[in-house]
Amino acid sequence: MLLLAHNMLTSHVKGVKNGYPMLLKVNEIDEKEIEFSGEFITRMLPRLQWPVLVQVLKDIGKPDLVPAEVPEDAADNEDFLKAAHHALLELDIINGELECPESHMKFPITDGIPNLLIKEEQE
Amino acid sequence: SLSLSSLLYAMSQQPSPTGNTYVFFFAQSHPDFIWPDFQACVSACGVEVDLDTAQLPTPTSPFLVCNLKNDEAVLNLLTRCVCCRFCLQLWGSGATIDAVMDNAQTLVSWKDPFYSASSFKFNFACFGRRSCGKERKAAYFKRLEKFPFEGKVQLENPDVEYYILEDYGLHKPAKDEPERIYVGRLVGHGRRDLLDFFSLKTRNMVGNTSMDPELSCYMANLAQAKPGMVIFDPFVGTGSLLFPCAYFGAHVLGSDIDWPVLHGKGKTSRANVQDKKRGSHENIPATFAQYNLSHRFLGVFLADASVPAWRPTFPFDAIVTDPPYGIREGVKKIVPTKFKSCESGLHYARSEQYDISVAYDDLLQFAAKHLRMHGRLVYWLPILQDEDFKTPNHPSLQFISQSVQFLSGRLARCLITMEKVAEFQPEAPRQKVEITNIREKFFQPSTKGAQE
Repeated sequence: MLLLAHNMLTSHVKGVKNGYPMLLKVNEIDEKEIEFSGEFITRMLPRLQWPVLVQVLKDIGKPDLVPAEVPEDAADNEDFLKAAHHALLELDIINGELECPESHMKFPITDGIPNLLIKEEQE
Repeated sequence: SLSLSSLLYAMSQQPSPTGNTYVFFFAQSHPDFIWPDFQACVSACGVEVDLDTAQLPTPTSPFLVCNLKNDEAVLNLLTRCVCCRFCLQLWGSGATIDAVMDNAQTLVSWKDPFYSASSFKFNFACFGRRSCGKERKAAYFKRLEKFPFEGKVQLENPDVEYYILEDYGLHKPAKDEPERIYVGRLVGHGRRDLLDFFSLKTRNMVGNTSMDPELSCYMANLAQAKPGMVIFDPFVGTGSLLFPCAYFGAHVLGSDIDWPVLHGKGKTSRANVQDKKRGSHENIPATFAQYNLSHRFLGVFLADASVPAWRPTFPFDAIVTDPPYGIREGVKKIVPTKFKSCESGLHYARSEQYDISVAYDDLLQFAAKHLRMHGRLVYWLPILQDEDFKTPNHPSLQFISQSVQFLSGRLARCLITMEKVAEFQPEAPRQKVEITNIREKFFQPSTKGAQE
């Protein structure tokens, strides 16, 4: 699971009022090299919750990969776009766990695929 | 040759006040999809096509004669036009060899100034007949001798190719004389090559219901897949619909309720496999890698489409999907049967048949909520050939196009494209989607059959 996806996911546990962002625990992470597209990152910026990306990078032990705030010249700032590209698309969570921040229901990530099904008798 | 390429370049850049006339020749594999695909390409490429005086394609005549600004506009359109075989700059048309050649001879010198400067060859193509035959070819060549070609004939890699294109119509048995003949210079080919590129025969992973590559490509066009977009499939299965979207530049992701399919485990759909299990390459990421599209793959998620886990403030640019409708693959969702408070997190879940009307109602609601404004929803709806059906509607989604594909027996399916035109309002009054329960009806004898 990419951190871009983490930014897009929200808890869907019934009755939960504030399920965003999901907490993330990581056991195994794969760093890969993905072809860079500044256009794509620029287009994603208005949709992203930037503070959520900054926080989750801290949570998984990769702080300071991106600045705390999106710079004003983001679209022309290639260093920034490349850093955002790396954080959003090149870190692949292979094994770990997503957790609903309100109900604390847990969703395992195995082989890179989050299991978002509401499971039986979960505690 | 340098002079020719510079001439071609000059031609392609030159704006002509009236535009040039072109004839598009379309493939016949899915006649109902030609026009929606062509229009989707026109809008995705931002090309202007003058259709006021155009002759539109029909199921029995897959030709479009229309004006475009120049070759460059045509080539732009052809980069993604899957339904098109090729496009000619039209020199002339007519019903007989003499008529078309007279017409072409008077027009060619001012319409196509570079015909004389280059090596060339003539090709023949027919619709409604395999070949026009030796005698007709000889008659064409006799007339062509009178044309003032200065370049020489070259069968291998000529500078320019010309076509004589004959339309015999759809008749059984085939007619001896064509109904219409077109002569012109080949501008370029459409993307029929993508059918081979995405062939299920060579694809790493397929399933029992993997979508035909041609139809998947049409869906990518209808969704207007382009760089900078995020496209989602909530019933992703083996990923068939996402590959062409990624090919045309979009970033893609999908979800499904089927654990073995997403993890590339379980039984393979390939015949003649010894232990019947999916191999290590039979999974979605490996298939993106096979197509060199890994950099546009955002992942798959094991999830229930009826309980979306996506933040609505991160809108999708398009949703493409083929919901399972219960004949070859079951419609399932997870339902909590014993629900206590969320705080305790106590849930029981079981998978049950997902009522088909509810499934489609959920899909339209999901699209209305999660699409960006003017984003598109492209989806299949199962229908019965012998029954009328009502296209689903939604206050936030405007109908764009639909095309029907006939399947075996009474079954057919309709590819529907809708565009988000109004913000989602949860409380807005609307008619719930009601779909014939195809599964129920499919296993009943046809009423039409019973009367016969």
